[in-house]
Amino acid sequence: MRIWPVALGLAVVVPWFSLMDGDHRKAEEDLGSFYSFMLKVDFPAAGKSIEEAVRLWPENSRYYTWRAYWKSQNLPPQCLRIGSALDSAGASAASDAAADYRKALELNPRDAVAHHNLAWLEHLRGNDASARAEWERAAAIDPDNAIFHISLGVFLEENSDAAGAANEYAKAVQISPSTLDSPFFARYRARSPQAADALVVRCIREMEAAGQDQSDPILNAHLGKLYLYHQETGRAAAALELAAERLPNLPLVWLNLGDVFLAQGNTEAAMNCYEKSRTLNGGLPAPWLRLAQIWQSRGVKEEEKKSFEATVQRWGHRRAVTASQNNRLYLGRVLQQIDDLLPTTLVWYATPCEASAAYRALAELSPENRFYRLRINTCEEIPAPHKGF
Amino acid sequence: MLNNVPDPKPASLGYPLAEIASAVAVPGVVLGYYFGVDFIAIWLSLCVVAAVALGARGKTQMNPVDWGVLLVTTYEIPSLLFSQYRANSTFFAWTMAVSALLYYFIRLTLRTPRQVVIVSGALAAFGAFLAWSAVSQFGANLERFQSAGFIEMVPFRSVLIHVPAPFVLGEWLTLLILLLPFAGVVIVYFWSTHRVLAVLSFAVPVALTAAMILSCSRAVFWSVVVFLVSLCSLALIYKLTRIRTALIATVSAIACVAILIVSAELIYPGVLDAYAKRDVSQVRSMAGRVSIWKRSRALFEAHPLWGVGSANAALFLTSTSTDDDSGFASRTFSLPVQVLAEKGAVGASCYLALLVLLTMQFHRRMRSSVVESWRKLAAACFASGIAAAVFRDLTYSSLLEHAPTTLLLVTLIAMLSSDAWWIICESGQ
Repeated sequence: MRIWPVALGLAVVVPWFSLMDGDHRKAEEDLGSFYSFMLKVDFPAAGKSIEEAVRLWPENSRYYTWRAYWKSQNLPPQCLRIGSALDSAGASAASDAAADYRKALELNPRDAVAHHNLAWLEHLRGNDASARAEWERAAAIDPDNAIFHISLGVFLEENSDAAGAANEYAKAVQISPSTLDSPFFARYRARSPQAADALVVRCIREMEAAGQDQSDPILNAHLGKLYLYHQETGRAAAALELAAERLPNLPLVWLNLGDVFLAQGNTEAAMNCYEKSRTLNGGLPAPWLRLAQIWQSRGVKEEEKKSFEATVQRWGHRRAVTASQNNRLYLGRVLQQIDDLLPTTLVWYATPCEASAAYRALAELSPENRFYRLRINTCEEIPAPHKGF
Repeated sequence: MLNNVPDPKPASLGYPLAEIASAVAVPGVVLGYYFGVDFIAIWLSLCVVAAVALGARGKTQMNPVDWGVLLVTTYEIPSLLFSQYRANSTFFAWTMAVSALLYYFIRLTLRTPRQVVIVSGALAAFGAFLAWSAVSQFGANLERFQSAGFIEMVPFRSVLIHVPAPFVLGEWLTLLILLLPFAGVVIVYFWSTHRVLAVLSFAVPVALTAAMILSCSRAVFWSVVVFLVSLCSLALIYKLTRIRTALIATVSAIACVAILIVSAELIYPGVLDAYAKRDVSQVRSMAGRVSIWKRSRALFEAHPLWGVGSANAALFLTSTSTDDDSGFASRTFSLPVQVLAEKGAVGASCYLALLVLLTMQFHRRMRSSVVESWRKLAAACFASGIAAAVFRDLTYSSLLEHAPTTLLLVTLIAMLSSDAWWIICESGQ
């Protein structure tokens, strides 16, 4: 058989496929526009883009999840209590969004974020049994996501299952010890100080027992943070120095080691560590905050202001938690740029918050700046997923 | 010694300009995908139609490798029906369709050594650009890290070279490996015609090798060694050169790599440690791979016939991560494992068939007594490139991850199977 008929056949099939893919291509362009509009907080335009994307490629589960996310924008970030008082518009939006997540899961049952967000919507609508099942599915599909465990834990705590909640919180802290610096944990500690301290001790004990290789740098990095939180600076220094020596490319290890040195009164060593952390991850707000506070204590105004401004700038543009993973899991022509977790304030609630301290300092440095003054309680004002938490 | 380059007698397209245009189109497609240009597939389809209309039909018959490529492409159609998440697989099916089209375009139009050297030259120039970008970034980033007080460089090797999204460094380095044989073919071609140009052309593989050495990735480094050793071995096995020449070439190539490593060590102290010592990050990286392979085996056992669908491995690996501490698996970290997990036994058989057919055809043609040595050497260069890329992907999975990588691999296969090297002489022209 000659080759040219095959080549010609492909040359006909590919454009035909391309015409079909033209819809896909256009749909992906619409998804890109959706991201841009969401970043600009232009929700009506974002809605049009994502509706068009769904119309053009109805088999792509990601579009349904984004449409559901968009529909959830005006839902309250807090659940008042079981069977919460959603108004009719809210109830309708929650119902529509839940239907989109169900459709997405029908196409791709492995979407952990869709399970997580559907759980939140079901909880908001008062369907707690369904909500719990969805949260558990999300955590089972992606057990390494600390936020899923926090969500499930908060739900259990709200339903008076303190032991179940503590289990989930412990998993979250062990996966991501920086959870200890989040508004979530600060409030957990404020309402249940003994439980919070017991949780940290339990995490330390479990991690020490589970670690087969006591010199494992990741284990030591995690333990170091927990020791530091527990104010065992000697043990924290030993663990973090070991982690830094074996894996010097971890920015949070240097940050925590800097905190240890600062607690020990060794400011120069602390600054060196913060510099290293900043070099390894320029987008991390915490090292900037720590350096700013050191400049503040030394009265170096210019550096202080610059570093505090850098802190709030970086906190405001925090790297999306789910984006990098989703960009590996789902092929597409545009990369995900925003987080897709519900409630929309959850990521801010469950990750370290440096904004209040930085805004307070900036407000003192520039008392005439109303913008800074309005934001001095940014972290404290991030709504908890549940009223009263 | 190599024979002289023969005059390219059969100009099947009839028009020299069309020949050059068709040769330019090949790197154009690869570069277009790399830089995110739209509608490349439509242009490529039009090129195929134009080539057929201009007389590229000829008498070229489907060879076993052509059937193999058709088989792996056709496999994607029923595979879509069995895919566990079709949207991901649709993207990959599209990449395969364009790759097959590029393959047949090369088979139809690339007939003359001049065309082959245009394609190779353009891709080698692209390789030189990527290598320059890597080397310059490495120096600047290393200086930044050292000024922050970091002495060792090996733990930071993944952030010293920034690559464009959606590539990650490992995938991008595979591109460099795939571009290496094109640079080699330019040297082979010019060696018989313009020695000065041949000597100057050595700068490209040297730059590519330097960039790969600076990556501090041992798998990438060993892939370069596999490329060189494979090339020299093929030259020896198929008697393209005398034993002494082959041995001198092998020793020279290895010495060249050694000189590059020593030079890198002198300029950036610590590079040698990446290859001589076992850094903690390297040990952890291997342990994580073994754990992910175990999880991938479970995936294959759950979907033995058709797999989980093209491009779906990472999506399905998340749910089996409770039994170890390797965490999120962004890939299977092995091409054979990826093919088995994503495409199942059916798909793996198709890919294996293509590999076997390619090897058999290559062996048969290399044994032909009527093909000039320089053509065989160029073919050996392409074959060594494929061997090096496959070797690299035994512990990584990058060849099927992005369109530019897949297209480059397919270009290598097409060049190996191209008439420019074989049919002219086999048919006695």
